[in-house]
Amino acid sequence: MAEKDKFANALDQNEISPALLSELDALFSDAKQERPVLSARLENAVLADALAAMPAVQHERAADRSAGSSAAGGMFRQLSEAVGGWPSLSGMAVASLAGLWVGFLPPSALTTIESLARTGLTGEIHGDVASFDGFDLAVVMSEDME
Amino acid sequence: MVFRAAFSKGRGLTARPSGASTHEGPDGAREVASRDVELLRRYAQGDARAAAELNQSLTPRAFGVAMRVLGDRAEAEDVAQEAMLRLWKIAPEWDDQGAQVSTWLYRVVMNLCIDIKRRKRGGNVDIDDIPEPADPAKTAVETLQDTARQDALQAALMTLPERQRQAVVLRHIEELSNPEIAEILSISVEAVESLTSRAKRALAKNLAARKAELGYRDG
Repeated sequence: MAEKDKFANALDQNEISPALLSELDALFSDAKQERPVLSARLENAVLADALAAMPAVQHERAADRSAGSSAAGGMFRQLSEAVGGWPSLSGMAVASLAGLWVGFLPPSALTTIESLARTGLTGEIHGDVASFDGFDLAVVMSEDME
Repeated sequence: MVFRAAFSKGRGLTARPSGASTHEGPDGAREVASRDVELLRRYAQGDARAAAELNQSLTPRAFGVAMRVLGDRAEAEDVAQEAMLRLWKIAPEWDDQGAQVSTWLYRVVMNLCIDIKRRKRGGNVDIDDIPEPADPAKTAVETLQDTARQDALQAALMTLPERQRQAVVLRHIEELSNPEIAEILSISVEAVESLTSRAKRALAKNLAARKAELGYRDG
């Protein structure tokens, strides 16, 4: 039995060549270069956990409860600080509203906006865009010239 | 493959916290370790920015090592979130003279990974007392004709017994020292050396059997 194990071990050793071990090391080396890609959900969840469990917030909540007010303001302030303050939050709000607005526009309106951007006339006739929503810019301008 | 979505090339965007001895050197590792402790102290005092910084530096590491050990993104995310939650909760009582934050976090992650494996098996027996069952990932490896080499490495890792996988990931991918791994896994340094040695041999044999699939050349 011992001889058999000895033979099996020797066989195992023979199967692992230095070249194979260096290939394995190369794989490990590649793996070290990779960095984890976190989902936004995980990042946000961990940060939300952190703010909810923060001792100062817990104390603030207790104080607010005793004062009869909500702790939501405190949590919002902490979130604001964590993401970089009011400028970041206001930027996020503007970007969100812009995205919402574009999402509601019909495809024809987007085409018109793109055409305006190309002609460089966006500033001058911005008010007309809403008036002639859905019309091609060339048609609008030709009507103006008549 | 789902595993690929969990990692990307380059390590520049996430700071590696304490324990990254190979890259930062002992002085760098100590510096990062003391920074983690300082951030944890500030968090405990109500500094939200400290929470954000710890989240940026430690969560990727907790998730990364859980992903390597579990091979499942959803489970790895759950483990990372739970481990970080435990860190937030222990922050007020953190012992400045005690373990490094990252070492503590690794230990929690590894224990949570074991808990998940144990729940999957549906029993209460000690995971180290039972033989490792054949892993379904083995069959996956056999069908990965066009899989990237790192996917194959992960698949090969998943064929290892739990403790071997943890030890080899911590040693050869996370680049921790054997004493650190011993502390994380609550075993002796000699046991760590034995685990990593056996794991490397098993991985090499596994990869040898699939060299053609990995696009290797001899020599």
